[in-house]
Amino acid sequence: MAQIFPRWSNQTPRLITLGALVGLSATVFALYWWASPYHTDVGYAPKQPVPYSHALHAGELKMDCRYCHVGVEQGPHAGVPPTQTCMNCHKQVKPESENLKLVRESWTTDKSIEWVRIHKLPDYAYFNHSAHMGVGVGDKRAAIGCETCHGRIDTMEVVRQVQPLSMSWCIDCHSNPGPNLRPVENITTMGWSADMAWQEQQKQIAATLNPPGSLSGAQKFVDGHMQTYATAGCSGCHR
Amino acid sequence: MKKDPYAPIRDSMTEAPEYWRSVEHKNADDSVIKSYDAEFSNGITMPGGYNRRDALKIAGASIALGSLAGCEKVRRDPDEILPFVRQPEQYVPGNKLMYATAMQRSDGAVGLLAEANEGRPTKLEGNPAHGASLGASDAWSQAEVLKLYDPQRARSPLKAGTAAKWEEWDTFAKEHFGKLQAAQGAGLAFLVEEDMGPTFERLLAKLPQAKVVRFDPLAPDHAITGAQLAFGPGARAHYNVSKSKVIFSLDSDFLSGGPEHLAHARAFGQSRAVHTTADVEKMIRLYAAEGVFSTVGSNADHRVRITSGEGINVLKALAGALGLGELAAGGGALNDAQQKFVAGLAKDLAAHKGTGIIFVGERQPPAVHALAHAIDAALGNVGSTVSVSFSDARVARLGQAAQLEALIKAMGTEVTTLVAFEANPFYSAPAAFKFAEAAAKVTFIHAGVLPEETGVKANWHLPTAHFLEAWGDATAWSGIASLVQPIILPLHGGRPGISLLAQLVGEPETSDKKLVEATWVGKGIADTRAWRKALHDGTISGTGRSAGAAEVKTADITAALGNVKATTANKDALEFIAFDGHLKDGRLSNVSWLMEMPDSMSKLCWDNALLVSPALAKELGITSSVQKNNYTSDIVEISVDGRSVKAPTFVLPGIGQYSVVMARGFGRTWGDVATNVGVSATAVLGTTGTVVQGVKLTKTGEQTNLCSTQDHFGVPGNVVRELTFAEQSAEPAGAASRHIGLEPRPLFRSATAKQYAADGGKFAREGDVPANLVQLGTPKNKPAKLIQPTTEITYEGQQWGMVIDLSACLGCNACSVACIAENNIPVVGRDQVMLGREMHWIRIDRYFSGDVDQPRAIHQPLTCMHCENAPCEPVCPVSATVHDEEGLNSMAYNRCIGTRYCANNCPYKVRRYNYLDFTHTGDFMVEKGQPWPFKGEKDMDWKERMKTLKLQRNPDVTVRYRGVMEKCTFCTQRIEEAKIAAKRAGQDRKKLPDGAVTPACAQACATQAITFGNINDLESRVAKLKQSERNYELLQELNVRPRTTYLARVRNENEELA
Repeated sequence: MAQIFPRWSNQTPRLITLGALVGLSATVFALYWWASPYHTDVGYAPKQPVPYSHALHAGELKMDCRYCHVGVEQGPHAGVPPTQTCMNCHKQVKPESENLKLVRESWTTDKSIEWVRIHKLPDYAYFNHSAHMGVGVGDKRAAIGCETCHGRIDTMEVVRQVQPLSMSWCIDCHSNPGPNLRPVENITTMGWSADMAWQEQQKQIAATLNPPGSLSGAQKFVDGHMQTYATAGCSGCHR
Repeated sequence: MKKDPYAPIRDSMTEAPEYWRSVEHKNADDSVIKSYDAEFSNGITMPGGYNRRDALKIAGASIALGSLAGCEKVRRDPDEILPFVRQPEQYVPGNKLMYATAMQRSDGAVGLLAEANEGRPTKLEGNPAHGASLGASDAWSQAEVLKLYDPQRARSPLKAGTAAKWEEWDTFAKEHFGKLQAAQGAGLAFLVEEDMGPTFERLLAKLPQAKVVRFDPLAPDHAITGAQLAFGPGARAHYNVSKSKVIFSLDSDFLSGGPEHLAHARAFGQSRAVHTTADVEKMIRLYAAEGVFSTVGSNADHRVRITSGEGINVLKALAGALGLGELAAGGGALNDAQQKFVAGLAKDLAAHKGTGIIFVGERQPPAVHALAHAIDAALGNVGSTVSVSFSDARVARLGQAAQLEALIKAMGTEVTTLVAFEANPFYSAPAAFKFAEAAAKVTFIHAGVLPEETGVKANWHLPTAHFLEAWGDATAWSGIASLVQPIILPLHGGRPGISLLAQLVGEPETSDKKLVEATWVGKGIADTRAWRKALHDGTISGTGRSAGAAEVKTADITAALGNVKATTANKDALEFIAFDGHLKDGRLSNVSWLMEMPDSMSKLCWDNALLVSPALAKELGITSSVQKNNYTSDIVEISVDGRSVKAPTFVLPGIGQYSVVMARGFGRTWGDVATNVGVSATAVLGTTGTVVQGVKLTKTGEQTNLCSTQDHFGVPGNVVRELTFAEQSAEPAGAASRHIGLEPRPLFRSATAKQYAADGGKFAREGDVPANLVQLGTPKNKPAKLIQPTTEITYEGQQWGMVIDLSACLGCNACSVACIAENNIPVVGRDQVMLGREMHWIRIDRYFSGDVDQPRAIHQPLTCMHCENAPCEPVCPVSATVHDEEGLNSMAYNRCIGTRYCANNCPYKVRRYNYLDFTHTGDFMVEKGQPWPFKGEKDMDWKERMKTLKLQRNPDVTVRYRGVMEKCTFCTQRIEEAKIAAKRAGQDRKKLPDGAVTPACAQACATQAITFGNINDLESRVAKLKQSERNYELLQELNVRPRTTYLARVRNENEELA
């Protein structure tokens, strides 16, 4: 009697198992990716109540970020400006514009404009803008630029989140802050890049931020050596 | 037989411990001793009576449902940012702002700094520039911020207990008070506290015919009347503790309550900071005679038990021994111990003329206060350590009881309208006054922050603004005035007290700010610039009471003393004393932080009881047996003068043999937190103060259980044993243990000043292992003494550490409450405390030693030690608790999965676990005996309740959820804040100056018992203290190398009395 099933069918269970495994892994990965900050947060660009354009104000008009975001060097939050800041100029500039209707309304009714939050950290993670606006002492002083985390704001009509703000993203920079350091006077400069001299400087400053040999649970074995990281403890961000 | 290495450390205790936490511990009661080793010291109880299997079923279902919930939404809810329209100056979102203010009390204002986060007051701290605070604060001032957010504050006036509109009140007030104003206030009486602040007092004087009655159970009533008796009308005594060498405290708790107690405590703490043998000279010797056991008594070098009724005898005997014959006349007999005590004390006071102080407490009648002043004057202390000031008017003042009695008589006849400000007489006036009956005869208006018993029954209750919500001013005991500024607008539309008063007395201006300005600007404060300076500093310069010639009126005093009869209590005619615990006279009963704060001595929380001495308990056959750390207690009936109250009993060593003592502030009938907790002590009181004589106790045969934490978190190991030189050699060899290579060392170490002077403090280190200690620092700057134990750790940069001075700790609990406020620590409720689940990060262990009836007591604050070899760290399966580079044992809440292995492995028992979602639901208790939280649900709207309470939270500290372990972080948020501030200023964040970081506990501490800083900087205060010979580690034998170490207590004993 002839065989009903051809010989290759012996492989079927294996193929099914393999397929199932691959399928399962793919599903897990897809779900993981789908739920990760890389998917959920990067690119988030909600519509704001007032169609404010950073591309116009920061890009074309070259206003400094700190004209509006005054808290950035003084406190944890850079802050969204009060209506008064808008009205400083817009009492004169385009005072009748349809786009500014909500701003004028806020000004007369004394009610806040309800801006939509874009960058949001979990409640148990503490971030302080002012701590990143200047580290190191004397000639070893440097800062992280706005651009490093917030991207080319000067080109955005509608602001979107460009970095995942995940813990691993934070830790990456804290492990190796050198490349992201820039002179304090260039904090708000968009499109800034380090020249050769500064690249050397970066290394030296980074070395002062990572004192060797301290006790830490956050030491890592890298390239045959134990290395300590800029803010190694948990309690810097988790209090 | 070989010992099983895994057997509990202690099968049975063979000897009584030298230091013991409770009578049961002393007697080695199994239920106490075994609980020290057990994981669940108080047993396992699931809320609602679920068993383990049910819990697993529910957990399984929850996981399934939880995974479904995950599918719903990936992105977080959108969230708005609402900026200001016009942003105030100086305001940076996320940065806190500090405002100077002051809190008026009957015994003088306490200067405070209020921390505001985004406009919310979140914490109060002492104002260093204010003489009555000096930067320290007490449990009361710390708790005021939660009172501000009390969810039960009235949203509108209450007319006969039901909500009414402010307009209705205004219409009523216009008509009713219009008539009274026209009559110059005839028929009107105000019931107010002793001192209400300059503006309030100014307005009170506006209607000359209106009666002003001073009533405040917390007022230093007898002290004021006593000073007046001794020195003339308007006199007030001030004490300079820092100048003193010998202090005698008769029934007084001058370190934790009463006028300027924070300043007294600061001076006392400084005198106890003995770091070299030469320092012994500056130590104050403290004598105490009392029937209750107070924080003064537990810190006294010599304490003798008296009943309050014998106080006059003790002081007269002292006068006699000092050769002041006319003052000593007519004194009664003392017992042997008291005689010996008085003889020793008299000799000491005579040897320290001009540097002695006699403090007399409020339980003693005014004549005894005056007698103490006379003795002080005879010893030359008046003018040196005691100074006298006079009010400008020098008006004679009646005692409060007399004022209240006169008012009650006049009510319904001369007085037709009574307005009470910030008082709760329906609860806090002693029952014998029958205040409520008299109040029914008049139009009774109650104005207060909380309605309380009085407000809901009065004709009108008017919600007033809390002092953090309104403009005002306040006067300290020294007469120095402060401005009070609002940190937030009135939350529920309450009106400032001074605005209401202005309305009542017909002042056309009712704005609180303008009223205060009218008092000061152009008078005490020259101009706007001076106004701003006064606001900033927290004090108004140029204010104060004027000093006066202090002539003692001996004839008046002896005449007054003739009217005071000494009483000696016995078994059938006991002395009942109502004392003030954390809840004070009841004004803080609804503040859950204080309700859950264990009493300094009895460690009772969510309960009060009649405290009886062990000897009396034996005589009356009262037993309290301990079961799983809860006390089964006999209920007795207290009867006196036709009043009788049933109350549970609690045996507390050290109470006067025939004194029975009960805390005030319990047995309330109003308040979500306060209702149904404990028994009201004021129900027993007569009209003469907080002491009642001739009380009889009858056993009812009923029993109840009591909630006391005195046996909670016992440190395993039979180590609670005093070590002195003499016993050092006799330390039993081979005491059974599995400790690492060492004999158990004593937890608490102490010596007398003489021993300390003789050997420079070796007692603290004797028996510790020298090889285990290394010298810190480079060879060049080696310290003379050893600082830290050896570790493999190299000390780089800042290394945080703490030292707690056991000589200075009073056990007042200010640190604990400050910690709660700073670190968002939840309140768990009575039933959970009974299970040993209280969440306090810093607890104060109270130990007794010596005779069970006349013990010594000591206080030992315990918090996370931040061990270098932390036993909690290796057992964490998820590395949620790890060391950081500055030696902190950090706790990452978001990583914690709640295995509780760390808490089990912690030898100090300082880790706290969120068994339930305490943060959102745990701030109240439900009816006694009800399982929590399920049956309280119907009565309590948690969300509504948390709406205001959550405004108190510190935004810099994570709010923890169910299933997470937590513990002291050394206030890591403050360390980070200091580092970030240094970065902003361009300074090195790794080289913060000494004192840049102060944890909440150290900041609150009045005696400066807690010092925190960088131990790697040999010049820092903390490193210097660690080099002290008194420095020792707790559980040194475990080799965990704690960063928090203790300074052994040095007692300044009088050798004649030793």
